Amino acid sequence: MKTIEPCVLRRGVSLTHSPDTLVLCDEDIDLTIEIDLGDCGSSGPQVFTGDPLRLSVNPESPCASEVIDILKRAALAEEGLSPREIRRRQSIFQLLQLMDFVLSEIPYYQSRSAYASVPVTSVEDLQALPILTRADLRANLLELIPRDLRLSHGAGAEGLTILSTSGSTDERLQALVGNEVATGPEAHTRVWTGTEATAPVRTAILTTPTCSGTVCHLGQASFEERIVDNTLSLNSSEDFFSIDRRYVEQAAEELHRFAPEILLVNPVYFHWFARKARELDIPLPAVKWLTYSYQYCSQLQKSALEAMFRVPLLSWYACTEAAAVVGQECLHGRLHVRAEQCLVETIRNGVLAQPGELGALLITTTAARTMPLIRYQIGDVGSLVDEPCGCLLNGCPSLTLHGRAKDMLCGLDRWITTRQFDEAISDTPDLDFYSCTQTDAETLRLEVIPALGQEAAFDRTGLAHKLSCRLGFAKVDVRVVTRLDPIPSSLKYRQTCCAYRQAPAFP
Amino acid sequence: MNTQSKGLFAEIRSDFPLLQRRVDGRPLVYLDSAATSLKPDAVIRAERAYSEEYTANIHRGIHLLSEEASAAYEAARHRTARFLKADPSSVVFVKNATEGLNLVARGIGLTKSDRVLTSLAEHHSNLLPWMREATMRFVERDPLLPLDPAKVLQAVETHRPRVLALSHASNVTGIIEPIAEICQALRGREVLVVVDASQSAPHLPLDVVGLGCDFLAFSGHKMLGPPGTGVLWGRKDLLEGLAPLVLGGGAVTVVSGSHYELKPIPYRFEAGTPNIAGVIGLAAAMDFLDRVGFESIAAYEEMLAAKMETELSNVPGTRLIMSTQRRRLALAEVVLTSSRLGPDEVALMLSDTFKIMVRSGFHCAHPLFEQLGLTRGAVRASAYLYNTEDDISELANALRSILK
Repeated sequence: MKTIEPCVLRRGVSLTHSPDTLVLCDEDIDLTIEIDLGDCGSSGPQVFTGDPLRLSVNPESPCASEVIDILKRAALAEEGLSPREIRRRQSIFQLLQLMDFVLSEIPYYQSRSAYASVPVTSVEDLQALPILTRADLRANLLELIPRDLRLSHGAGAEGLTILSTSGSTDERLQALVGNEVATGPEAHTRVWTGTEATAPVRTAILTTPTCSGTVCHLGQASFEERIVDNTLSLNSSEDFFSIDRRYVEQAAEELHRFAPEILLVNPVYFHWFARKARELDIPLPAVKWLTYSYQYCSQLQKSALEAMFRVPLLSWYACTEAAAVVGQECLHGRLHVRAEQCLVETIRNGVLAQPGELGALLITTTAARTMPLIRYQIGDVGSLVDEPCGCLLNGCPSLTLHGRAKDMLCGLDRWITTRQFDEAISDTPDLDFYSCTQTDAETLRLEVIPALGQEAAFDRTGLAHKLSCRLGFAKVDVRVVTRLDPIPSSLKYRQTCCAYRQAPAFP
Repeated sequence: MNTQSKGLFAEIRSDFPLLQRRVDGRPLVYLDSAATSLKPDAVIRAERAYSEEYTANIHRGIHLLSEEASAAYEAARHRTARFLKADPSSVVFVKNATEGLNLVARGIGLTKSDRVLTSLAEHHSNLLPWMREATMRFVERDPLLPLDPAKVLQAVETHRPRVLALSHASNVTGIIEPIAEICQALRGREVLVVVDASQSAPHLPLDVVGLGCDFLAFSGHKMLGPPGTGVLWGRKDLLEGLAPLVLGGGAVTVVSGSHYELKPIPYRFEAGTPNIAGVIGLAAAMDFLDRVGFESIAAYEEMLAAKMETELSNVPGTRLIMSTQRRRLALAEVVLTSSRLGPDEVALMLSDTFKIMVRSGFHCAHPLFEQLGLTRGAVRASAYLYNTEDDISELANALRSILK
């Protein structure tokens, strides 16, 4: 058999070979590519073991050009490339695969000329495609899944799940998600430890009781019933600021018994819980990592929880409908885009924002195949930069999340994001929680919960003056309260909200 | 149903502001009227007028506004009495049918040695109040057919209950029970017949004397009226002996440090400030329904029911449960045969993707679902006078898309 010189695979690329498939895995990137060898017959690729791995392909084989093309385009057989360049090439590779897939399988994209008429050959070409909104998802749910996917046959099986979410904007939404993308804790701990998890990572969750109809809102289900696949869902509460000693004792006891490595929490819920435990002198177990998801976290909660547990509180930024981890915070404090799962764009006034410039976040789920989303406007605002990092996600852009677009405050000459407000308030001494509502063009109404024992002494006047100077509002009314009220639909707590004017989708 | 009648009902749609609402640019299809009906302009205006023009408490003040409010409230009672073909003094305003049924169950002095006869097809609101006070007995029946008066009589003779509690129409199957025939069969027997008319009051003319029952309760919110309104009607001699559920201002004539005297019926049952605006709105709803006419409503809804039967029985992956009788509600249960897709998921998709509002679950009738072997509940579509045949077709098409 005539063969060409074997391709030498880049270090870190492994492969699994069967007569029908060739599975290439770029372990540094967490990217897996499966090539169907069905047409190759006995003239398929030959694998030579060794370090590095070599792969030889018969040039006359029907799949020769495809295999070589993939190796090249996915940067799997070329040494000396920077991490950024590898990720760039692989992102393009995945994007083109996604476009091929959606144009052949997904009725929504097939039926809209904008997708078929724009040749996408680079990430930049995405700009010419329409933006997908939550309203689009609601109206076209069944058109956004592969035409041969039968809900009545598949829901609940083969990892397909129908989820409801209110997500970043508190708008109702359903989503169909598959299991083609790894979103479990093992996918994250590798970034933090540098090594593959050898056993499932035990995770405990304390978040809103509405985060999922099947997981977190289990009410009085037993401890054993609330453990699914090494994950314990602690009973939440619809009125978390009213939790009592009995609740804290039970949750603490369950945490000690379960001994999680990761605590995945809603930061406001968990800060209140941990503060209550401290007040009642109820010890909580040590954990390796504290994580939160789906939202911007105030510096107040981050600092308090990190000080209490002496571990970092790390973001694992995701959205239910995308079935992807959009970003992951590394131990250097950077929220990296998980480039092997999705692409993130920031747009401002309809055009791409400059690096570091604030914009609305759009995501394209390049690895999803159940309900792939192209330029989906997630409802949050933030900025992107490319900067080198010492972590495994080096080469992935860093995202600075600013919170929900709809939560922005209307300043004198600009919209103020939740992050920007948080930066203005979070150096306030003896402050644990806050919630800020803008009631008219010049007035902020701020509810605050001071640190334990500081309620009477809390300097409301000083805080009002500081915020007025820093943000330019003429009147800042600060009230000390004993509890905050959540958003009724999601039971999450909003740090900022503009009650008199609707914030724009784009900053 | 002729074209002219169809045209009348097409025009009625413009009386319902909510049907003008667009969600994601699409109009709504509302098929959840068995839970709560939409409100016409006339009802909204009547409620609003109370708040804008004559807000005051009733039966207490002597100032102008109080007198106007009291007059409007009592006019609503007279209106309701006409609706039921009854005396105004036998009409008690309550917050809903559930409260009315609880008032009777608590007020007639039942003990656990008393038996209450009912059917497993009842709504929880016509089971639990009785279950708390007495011992339950059930008429054997096929839940997909109307009750047989002879079997009810037989069960009464067997169990000798103090109360027979039945719904006039089922919120699960749309079956209309032959209440008049049952009462006729029981004439001379010592059993109180209590009727839950929550599902019938919106669709059928009610004549409490003609029915021959002893108590009858219904809610306002299912018959175009405001939520938080309801009516308990009772035979006057029975109301006289009924203990009030709640005591307080407005229910008494004399109060000393050690005793009180109750007001005459029906006021003794309406302690505290009632839902004045709601009751006035409820009277407007009755005006609206009488203007359209129950005969027309019944004919129009039978057309919708027939459409449901035709369209929804042809959706692959489902089984249809609804009454096949000539007299029935336009109400159907769509049972999913796939074990991998639940009623809640389908109802959510119908709502968010197709803007079709239906009910999913067990509709407060767990014993009936258990009897029917429907362990995961069902999707219920319930139509009313503002629905069209197109609404039913849209539902069927949407179900086909989801269950393809």
